Amino acid sequence: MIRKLVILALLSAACFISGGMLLSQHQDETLYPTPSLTKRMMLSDYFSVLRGGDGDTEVFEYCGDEGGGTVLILGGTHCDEPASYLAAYLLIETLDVQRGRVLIVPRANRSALTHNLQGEGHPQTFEVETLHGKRSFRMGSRYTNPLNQWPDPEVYLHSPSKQELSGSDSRNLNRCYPGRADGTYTERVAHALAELIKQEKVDLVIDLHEASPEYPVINAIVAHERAMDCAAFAVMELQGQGLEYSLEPSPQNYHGLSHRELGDHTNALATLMESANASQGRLRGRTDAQLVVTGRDKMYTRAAEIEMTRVPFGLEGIPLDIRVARHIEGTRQLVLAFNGLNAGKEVEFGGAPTYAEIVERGFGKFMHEEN
Amino acid sequence: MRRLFVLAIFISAVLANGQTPYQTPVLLTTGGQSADGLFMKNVLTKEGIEFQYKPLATVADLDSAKTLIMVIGGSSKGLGAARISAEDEIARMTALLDSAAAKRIPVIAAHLGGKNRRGSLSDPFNDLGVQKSNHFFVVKGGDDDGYFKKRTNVRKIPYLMVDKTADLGAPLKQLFTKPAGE
Ligand SMILES: [Zn+2]
Repeated sequence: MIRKLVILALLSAACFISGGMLLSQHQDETLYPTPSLTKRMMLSDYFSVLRGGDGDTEVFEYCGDEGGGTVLILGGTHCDEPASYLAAYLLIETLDVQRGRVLIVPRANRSALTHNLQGEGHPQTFEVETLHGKRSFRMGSRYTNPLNQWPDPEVYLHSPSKQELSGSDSRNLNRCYPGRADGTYTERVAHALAELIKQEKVDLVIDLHEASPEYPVINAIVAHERAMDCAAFAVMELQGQGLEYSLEPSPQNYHGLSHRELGDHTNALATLMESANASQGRLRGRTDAQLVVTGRDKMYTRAAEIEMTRVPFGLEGIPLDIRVARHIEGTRQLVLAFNGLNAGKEVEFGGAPTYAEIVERGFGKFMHEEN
Repeated sequence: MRRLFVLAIFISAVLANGQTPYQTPVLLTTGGQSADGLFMKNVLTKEGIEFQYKPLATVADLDSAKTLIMVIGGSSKGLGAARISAEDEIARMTALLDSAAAKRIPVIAAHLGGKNRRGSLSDPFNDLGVQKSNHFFVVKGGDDDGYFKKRTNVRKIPYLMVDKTADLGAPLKQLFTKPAGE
């Protein structure tokens, strides 16, 4: 009898602890926007069906004193690509907009931050050094949480193109654009983001991503055909700073991606950026919070030696600091290129640290907890 | 090979005459459908060099051109977007380069995309471009292994490496300007 009670108590404790861990994954990290923030909105303000659900997510607006264009920055489309949402968090906590408007959705697929990808062994959280000590961030998944959308179809039929994709891509936000008002959970999030772009008359969309070091489109800006001139100027400038970037056109026949559908279905110039994330790659070795932050991996260094990666990968790895720095600098150069091509619609901002500053001190040192 | 030889003689002849062989308008195309052609487009625009940009230019487009600039390096996304296979792209490039040689239209090949535009997809385009051009530019990062240097040495054509694409403005402008002197 006593033995049974002890077992029951231990089991209850295990359930309680793991339940707590699971619930903690649903807790959004607190962000500390700069005083330059003009409005804090929710995505459901643009599509009320999302209100109160896991898909509803924050929209931060920074409006300059002078009128100009509107830039939308999307982080956290894929939540196992931490540089994408951390770059957005960093902008939220450093931005000072003088002209035009910057909108930031740091957790574009908020549901994807509430779980890990099965079988990847990813950590639930990782820590970053800031001026106020260590700050913890969640590592999420590429896909919407099955709790929000289940089960996957055998074949996912993209709307409206009718292109066939693998079933799990029905929960991949970047295969669900332009979205559907009466579609799946993920399609509704995509629809809401497209609505935001239309209602706010967004001129330039920058969708932040990461990819495996062996993925062919990496250290790249991908652009819709209407955004190619803007992206070309930005890439030339980035290359001029000694940063490896390539410019890739959005394929016309590959549907569901932001750079294709947002460019086709809204007036915005649609762009997407990729940095190299070892913790996402297939060739990686030991997977833990260290790997996410340091981006160091012996297996990848070896893979690079035998030319199996698309980016150089030395023993020093590709740390989160460099990946965040690339996204910040890439964003800056895209906006500057946009300004050069769109007189009267300029967006001017300061506050965000430079590439060199982030690489030297670490992005965490620029994050604020007392704005 | 013989055509190239003839063209080399032609170029030295016009150079001796105090006239640059590199006349405008330029036909700007790519070799491998990478978007790097847009970088060259930016540079030519900035330098005021008259050009037409046709990523999929054909032999007929040479009729109105006096110089061909080909930005080399492959992109799978670019080939996909242009709906052309790597083999067909090689065939298009070959026809264009051979026709330029036959028409005594000088060819400038440029590799602008760094390491990203090297390797198994890109190098067939790179090799063809450097083998059939009269002047070669490369942006740092694209020739760390001396791949282009070696080929231009063998062919004895001018080779210039610049730090960044924007630095191509001045040497290009110079190519299209009559040599000083006399
Ligand atoms: Zn992604």
